[in-house]
Amino acid sequence: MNQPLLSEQHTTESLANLLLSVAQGDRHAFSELYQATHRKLFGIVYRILKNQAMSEEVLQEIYLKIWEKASSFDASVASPITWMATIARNRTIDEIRKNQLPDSDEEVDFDLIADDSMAPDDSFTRSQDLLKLEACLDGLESPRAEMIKAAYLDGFSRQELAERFGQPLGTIKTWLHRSIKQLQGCMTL
Amino acid sequence: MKNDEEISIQIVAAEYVLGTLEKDERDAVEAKRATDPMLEKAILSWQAHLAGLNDYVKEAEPRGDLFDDILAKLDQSSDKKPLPGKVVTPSSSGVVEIERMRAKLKRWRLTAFTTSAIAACLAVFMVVKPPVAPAVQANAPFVAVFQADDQQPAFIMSLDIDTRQLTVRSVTAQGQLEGKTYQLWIKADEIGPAPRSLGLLANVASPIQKQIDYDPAVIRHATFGISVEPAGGSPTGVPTGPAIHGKLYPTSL
Repeated sequence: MNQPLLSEQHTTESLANLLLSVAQGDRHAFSELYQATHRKLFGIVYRILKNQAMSEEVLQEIYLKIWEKASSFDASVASPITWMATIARNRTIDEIRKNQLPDSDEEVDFDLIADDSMAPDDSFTRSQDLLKLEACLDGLESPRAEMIKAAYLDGFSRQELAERFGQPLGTIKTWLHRSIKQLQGCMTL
Repeated sequence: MKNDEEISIQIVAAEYVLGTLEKDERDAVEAKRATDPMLEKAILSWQAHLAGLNDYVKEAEPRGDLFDDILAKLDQSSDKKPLPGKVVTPSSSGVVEIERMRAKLKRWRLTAFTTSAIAACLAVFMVVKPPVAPAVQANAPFVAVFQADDQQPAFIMSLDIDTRQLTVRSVTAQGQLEGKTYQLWIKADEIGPAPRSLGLLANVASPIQKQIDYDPAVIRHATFGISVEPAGGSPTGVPTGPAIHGKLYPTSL
């Protein structure tokens, strides 16, 4: 079975089994889970926070949360990596919405972000989820697909999206709402 | 046609998942989702819809000793409160034991989901298809789950109707009680008014197989019980201790 989000030889099932062991307080399984997933989760956090030290701090909290919440993992709702990525994104978004971040390690060049990393990492097989989502995003009027990706991947607020896309805030809100409605229709087909 | 309320719930859920809500809006969503099943469902749905975007994220490497810090924090927090599953002695905590049980059930359930979509049809119980010993279990189209209360371990039983071979597996690794044993029973109108013993489940640490001689049609609709008995089995020939029950369900249509 391909596990498109991970470079390790872990399958959805083996990760789920690790999570179940973690739920029982198994630290060895926790270590294995960390080894298998931390690069991906750190990638998610770092891309949003763009600050190494803060990303590391947040990543610690994310794994502590995974440890605490492992028993609530439900394989019928989400895959293990999606479940963990959701915890990672939630925690990270909370962090940036909570605070004005200290200076990031890098000057954020919006054009560069758009050019450099709006394509899937080639080292991973594209998941079925992504193929369907991309088909639906393709149906959005330009540049709304980029806006959705910038929001999800870079954690941009509406205000940041307004700056990034050179639009008034009201327009961004309208774009978001229309895109969501259109995606909702497309994804549930 | 969707009503306005549903559309607005979808928009809020999607923006929450996208991360575009302001802090106060996020806080409001987080407070509300616990009590609003429609919102919760919409959030889960958008998380699934958008999860594919994580494929765009390039992996990155934090400092090498980060996991040591995580473990150190775990130790700190476990000094303050017990963490889930920290206590593994089964007799010391029924709650821990039941958590272990649930976790194991989930593992079986997971395998059921990955091996058979049919499992979803049987979701009244935690539906399982044994994931191990495939050579033995391959022709096991019926399963029963012995759901435990808070005191007793749960069992899973599968039946190969052709060979009439039952395989019983404890969901808890350590289900043995001092001076006690588990005993398996069958009860069906065709057999008589009292349960009949199918033998002891002496060592539940590994799967136990039982050959049963009853007619497959009887087996199929019988009620099975597992009771706690004195070592050596029930002295009276009928269950004497607390029992849990299960019936067989087909794993295919």
